[in-house]
Amino acid sequence: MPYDTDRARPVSQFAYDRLARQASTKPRIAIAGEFSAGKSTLLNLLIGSDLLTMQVTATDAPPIRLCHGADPAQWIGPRGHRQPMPEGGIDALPEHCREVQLFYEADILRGADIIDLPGLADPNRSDAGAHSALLGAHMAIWCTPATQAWRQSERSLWAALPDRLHRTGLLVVTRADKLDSDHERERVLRRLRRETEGLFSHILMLSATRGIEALQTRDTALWATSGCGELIRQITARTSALRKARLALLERYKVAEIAADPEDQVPDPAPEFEDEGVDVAPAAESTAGVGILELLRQAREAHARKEAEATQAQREVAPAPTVAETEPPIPREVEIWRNIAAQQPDFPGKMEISTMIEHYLVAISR
Amino acid sequence: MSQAVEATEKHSAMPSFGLRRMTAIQAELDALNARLGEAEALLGTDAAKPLLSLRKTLDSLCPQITFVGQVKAGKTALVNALSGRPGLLPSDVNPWTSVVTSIQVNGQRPRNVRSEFTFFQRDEWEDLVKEGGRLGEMARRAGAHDELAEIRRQVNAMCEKSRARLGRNFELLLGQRHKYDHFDTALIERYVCLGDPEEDGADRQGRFADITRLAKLYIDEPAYPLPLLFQDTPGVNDPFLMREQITLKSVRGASLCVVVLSAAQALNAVDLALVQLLSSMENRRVIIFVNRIDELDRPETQVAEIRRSLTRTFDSQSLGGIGHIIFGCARWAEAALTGGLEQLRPDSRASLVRVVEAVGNADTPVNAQTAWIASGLPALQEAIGTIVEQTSARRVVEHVRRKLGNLVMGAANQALARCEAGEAPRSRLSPDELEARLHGLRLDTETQLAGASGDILARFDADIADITAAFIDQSLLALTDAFAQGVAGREKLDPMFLRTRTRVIYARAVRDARVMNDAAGQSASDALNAIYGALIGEDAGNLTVEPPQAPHMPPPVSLGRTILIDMQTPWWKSWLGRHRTPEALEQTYRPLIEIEVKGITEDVRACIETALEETTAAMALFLEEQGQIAAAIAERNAIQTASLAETRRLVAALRQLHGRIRGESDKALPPAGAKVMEFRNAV
Repeated sequence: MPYDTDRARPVSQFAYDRLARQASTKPRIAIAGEFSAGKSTLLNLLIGSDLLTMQVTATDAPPIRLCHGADPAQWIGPRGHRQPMPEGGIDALPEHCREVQLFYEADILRGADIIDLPGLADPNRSDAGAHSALLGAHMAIWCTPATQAWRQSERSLWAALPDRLHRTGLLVVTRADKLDSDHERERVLRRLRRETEGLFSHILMLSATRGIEALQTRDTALWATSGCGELIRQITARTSALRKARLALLERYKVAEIAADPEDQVPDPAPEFEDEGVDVAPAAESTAGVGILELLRQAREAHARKEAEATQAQREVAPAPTVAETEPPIPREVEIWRNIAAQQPDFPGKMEISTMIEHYLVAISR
Repeated sequence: MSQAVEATEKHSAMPSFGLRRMTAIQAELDALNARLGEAEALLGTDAAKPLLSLRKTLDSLCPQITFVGQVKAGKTALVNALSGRPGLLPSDVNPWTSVVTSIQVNGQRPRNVRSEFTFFQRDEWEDLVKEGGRLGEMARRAGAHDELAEIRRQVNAMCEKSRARLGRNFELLLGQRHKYDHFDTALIERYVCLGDPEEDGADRQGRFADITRLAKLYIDEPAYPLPLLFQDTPGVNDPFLMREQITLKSVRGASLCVVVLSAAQALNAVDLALVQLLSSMENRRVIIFVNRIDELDRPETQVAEIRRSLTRTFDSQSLGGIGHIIFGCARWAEAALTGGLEQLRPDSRASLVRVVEAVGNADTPVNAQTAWIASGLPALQEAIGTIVEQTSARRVVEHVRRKLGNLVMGAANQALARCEAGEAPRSRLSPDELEARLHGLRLDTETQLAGASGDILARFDADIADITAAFIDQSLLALTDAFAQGVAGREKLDPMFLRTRTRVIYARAVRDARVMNDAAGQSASDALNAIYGALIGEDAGNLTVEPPQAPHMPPPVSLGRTILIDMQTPWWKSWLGRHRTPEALEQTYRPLIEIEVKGITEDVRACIETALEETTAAMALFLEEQGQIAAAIAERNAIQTASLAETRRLVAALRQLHGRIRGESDKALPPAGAKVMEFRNAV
């Protein structure tokens, strides 16, 4: 259905509040894939910690949402109410637990929540939970292992998802180091490009183990070839584009003198606002007393600030050609990198972080 | 990939410590061959023809081992290593095998032929091209337009590719077969490889791949005591939908199936479905091989973890009968065979060292021998040997033993009768009396078999009707449920219910058929022994005929056939989307599922019917053969006194030989008496 993006839309204060709240919610990035496809390793790399354990057999955990902050962990029941984690940890959760929320101070979580989905295609459990969590995400990263990449079961699951997830979707080919040569990696990539046409916005090869090794040995060349830099760049580009697009959509709604009937919903909500999944954004409650205009002002200011930062950064460093328009400020990536380094207690290069940054900037500007 | 393989004549150094079971089988075959030789020496030209056919039966034993698994599980590398020819069949980082490829190790082969490539028959090809094969048929029936379009698109691409490679007249090649007295990598790639459309030289690779149906290579590997046929199949769960259809068809003729899993993601839902499909055929013939353990970070501990998880899943799916789960790594086996352990990737080598240390100790050397053990290949060979011994080898050996025993016994009785006629003729059964008794026996046996066959089929029909009704109701309920909840109901719609229950019924029919055969055979041979007693007297007492074995009834292939409801969620999505009410859904669904189920049950019934007819025919043949022997005895042609002593010696020798053949047979088989009793009680 073509969506009219030009006309201003008068809505009630109630509806406007609701839209504004949704527009300022952090985007949710789902990390999906069949079990043992390298999701947890990828996530640990992103947040720079061994927060999640990796297992070679299928695991029996609910979706785990990582949010920024230092709050204690909690779990969400079927009706959306939050409860503190039981003493036994994840294993002690009741069956009806819909999601677990962990709070962690990793920079990448400032921009978006990340949801680690349970592995799909596990013979002992249904895919339903992971599937509905995937539908509730704003963007998805699909992990597929390099040595057995992209099988029909993956394809049919992914192809059945709505197009909005395809448009922003990222196909990450994990364990790229298990292939023997660049030639082999190139051939696998070529096949994937042929077979996933129109299903992803980007495909990239990733070796998380090499990435971690690169961090430990401060090997910028290895960091670049591991695909980790590219991955982080792609993610940040997408999250900032997402937020930008939502705020732009929100701008077209105007509060009008319409009867504030709670039943009177937005007649034609933007597809980006659709929330099919769990929405238990902490912002909903904490901002209840602030007033919606104030919230909106803050959101706009934050947005403008970001824009300015981005332009500033773009002036300083040549943007990478792949994501020209939505190139995030480069220092952000370095920040993440530094954050990862800080999480490693015996990281050898803590003292020389500035040198590392220099190396890195030189490497990517080439 | 492009380097030529001169593996045909190169003898690799395959260690033999996984081959004890196969050696034992060969020893048994050798012993039986020796008895055949003795019988030939004693009987001369009279029995040359039947003995020759028995020898051929023994020599033609060539168990077929089929390897199935998902794409890129490492089937090809495993088959190569098992054949002792690393790199023989080409493999690649992308799905590469597009054709069922067999390697026959040792055994008989056509003269001057080392490789053989069979193309599709014209009608098979046309079915594939016009209808998209079985998948296309199902997609159309379900009205799954997207899937049908995808299948059409793939088929059209395939046709265009073939036309571009082979010219406009490529269809002339259909139905043909190409034979060569050699093979090398380039030749094999031309027939079996998919090729990479964007790679140089791709026009040579896979030139014939799309229209080739079967490829067969013949090699000699002295390490194997037995002839064996290893069959490599295209991987299932391939986004290229067409290839999967070919794979499941090749399973039927197999003595056993090896399901190859990849350790990094052992047993996902697709693997489990595959194991279930195969087990619904016969689960004692399934071996699970978990390949690529070198991709695990800590193989020495993770292997146990994976095994626990596999066993748990199998148990929960009532697949506990799968006894063989083997872990290994074909890459290590290939390295062990070429002696090039240093060619392994560093991380693969590192995990090899960890496994070797865990299996042995810190001092255990990491060399070709220990790498071979760690690769799991010897364990796989032992498992194959064990299953072959219990199934195809036992069957052939038992068949030959019974036939040979009866042949020798008949000859001994004839010789005895001639001695008697020359020495001291006594009044015995006349040819007319004999014919009357044989006629009676034939009639009795026929009636008995016809009655029992009818019972078996009637019982099958009743049972299958119950199950079909239950299954359709259950599916409809699940579907309306799913409809009410607005979710695809794939989880609750379980075609395995239909498969396992049908298999149980089939297994019961198989058992009943065997019991029927044994009971009829037992009473026939009792009657025949009485006739021999009446023909020859007391002397016949310790020589008895043995009835034929029940026919082998491999499970019908349709039990393993993919049916509409095995399809993935998208099918259901489009289904559910197009129906407004549960009633409308039921109206379309019921006839559809009835057609699907009927296709399967009719096929299963046909299998049972054929087996019952075979039993009746085999029994008739047995009575015919014995009748001829008895008739020859009843003729009582007296012999010259001069050769009397010689004939007496012959009788003694034949009886001794018969004793030995029977002695070995008794060792090998449990008595059939218990089953006969069971059957008699049941009737």
